[in-house]
Amino acid sequence: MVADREGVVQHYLGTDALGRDVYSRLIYGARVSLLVGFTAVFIGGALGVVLGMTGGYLGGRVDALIMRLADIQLAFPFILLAIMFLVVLGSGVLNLVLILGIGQWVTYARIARAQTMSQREKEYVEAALALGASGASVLFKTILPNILAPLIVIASFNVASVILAEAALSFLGLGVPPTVPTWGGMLAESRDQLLAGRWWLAVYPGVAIMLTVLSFNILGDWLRDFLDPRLRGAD
Amino acid sequence: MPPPPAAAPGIGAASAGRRADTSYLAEHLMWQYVISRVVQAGIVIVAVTLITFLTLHMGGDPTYLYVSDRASDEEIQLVRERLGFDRPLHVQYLSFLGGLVQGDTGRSLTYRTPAMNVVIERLPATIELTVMAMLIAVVFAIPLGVIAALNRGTAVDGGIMAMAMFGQSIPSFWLGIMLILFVGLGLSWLPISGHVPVLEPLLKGDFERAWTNLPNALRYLIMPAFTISLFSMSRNARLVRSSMLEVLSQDYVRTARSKGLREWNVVMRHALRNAWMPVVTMLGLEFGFLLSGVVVVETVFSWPGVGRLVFNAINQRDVPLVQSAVVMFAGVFVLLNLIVDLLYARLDPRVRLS
Repeated sequence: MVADREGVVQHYLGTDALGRDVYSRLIYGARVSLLVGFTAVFIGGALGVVLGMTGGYLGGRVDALIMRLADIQLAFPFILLAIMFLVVLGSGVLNLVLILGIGQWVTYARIARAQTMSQREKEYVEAALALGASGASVLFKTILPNILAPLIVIASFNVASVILAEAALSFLGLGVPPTVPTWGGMLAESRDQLLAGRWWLAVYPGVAIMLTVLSFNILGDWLRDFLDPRLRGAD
Repeated sequence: MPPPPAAAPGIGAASAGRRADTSYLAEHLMWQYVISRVVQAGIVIVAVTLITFLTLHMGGDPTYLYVSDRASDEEIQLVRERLGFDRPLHVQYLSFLGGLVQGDTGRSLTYRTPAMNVVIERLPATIELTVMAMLIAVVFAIPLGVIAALNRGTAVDGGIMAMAMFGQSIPSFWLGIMLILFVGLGLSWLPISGHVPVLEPLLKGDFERAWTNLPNALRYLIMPAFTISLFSMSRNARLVRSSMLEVLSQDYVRTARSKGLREWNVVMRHALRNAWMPVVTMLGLEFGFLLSGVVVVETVFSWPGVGRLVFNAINQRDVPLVQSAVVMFAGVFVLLNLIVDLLYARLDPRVRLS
């Protein structure tokens, strides 16, 4: 805490080497983490659900192709792919969100595919088809609402891991431009300040990341028990 | 784990009629599985090289990475021709692939030497770190998971699971910084950065130096290895717990108990053996997680491995060096997954039959 001469607290969490208020930077940093976390999960989720459901519904070659792509991506440590893309294409929120989003689709595709395959033969799907609904309408209006629960659970855990990945990439200097405060970026800057004794610069951004990620993990656990008791303890 | 592809070339199909005994059938299935897995790994490697190659070109003409901002058009054109960036894309890819087979991925922009050599030089330090981290992640996770499962619903279980939840939520690089701050600088228990080589003298055949270096090397290893492994350790503990709970409710465990075996024997010899199979399955993928952690954690602890090399290469936009490291990591990752899958199929016949 830094107080002025009259003893009124000016900076609750202190200031950094350039005199900027850590507390306000933390609050602004939440923007990037949450924005990137939610958007990337949304992009990855949408992509994965569409591909997974299409594969699961159509089967055959389309399905095999999509699953082969998923296998290839899983066989590749994702963060390395992200690093390479960002080094060549340059960093920035858009690229960050895109690459993190693309990194997530496999998880959703696999679950959406398995669920669609089990729902495809159900009578309500047959009924919708008998009423003359098109394939796309059956997929996204009839089947999707019925397989949403496990996907929402995964999405919650996924927001947590995307926020961790974003922080790691920002820490490596591959996130948003250095003028925009991010938690990972603040931690990267704090490294040079450790020996100067400015410990608070390293402690608070980390606590912010940890609490946010922890919240989404707990939310995920709770959602899983609440929405889909069958998945309990299945991690 | 990706399911093995259904179709694979039949091996020794001609002799199948003559020797139709079951051991032959089992061997036949094993080979079918091995070949399909090797082919799959090969496809992945080719895909990795293709992606690596294409990313270099996605940012526009890569020539500009190699020339200074003030270079004239003639100079740029000269460099473009010298590096072959004026050729059609597929020709460039084939020559990239051809170079890769010979371990040549171009020259590092900062080191001015072949990029792959720079990466290989740093590899031993990274392997030391990853192996140690893997060891910590498994050795601590199994007892923690077992203890939590045996005390299901008690405060012990709750405590271990809460710790695991925290462990999965802490960014590794921050944990590293905190350890440096409190254990390294505050308590002065362990060195905050640096590295004493063990694997490198070992590979050069200098056993004596490796042996004398070992105690000191471990002191330098503990903090970074723990930092990388905490996430995996937490996840493994949860995994062991849930699979242990499942196994403990099985009939054969009840039978073992009803035979009057001591609880220790039931848990250790009957339950645990089956409960840690999911962890074995995860080990290959685990390595990928740990490798991802290596880049940030090596940077935090100034560990002279491939991870920090990548970090520096990123900052200097040394694309060939980043590419070499990525291809190297991906190659090691695919190879290890292949080995784990094959070992697993050897241990558990159900895998290759499915």
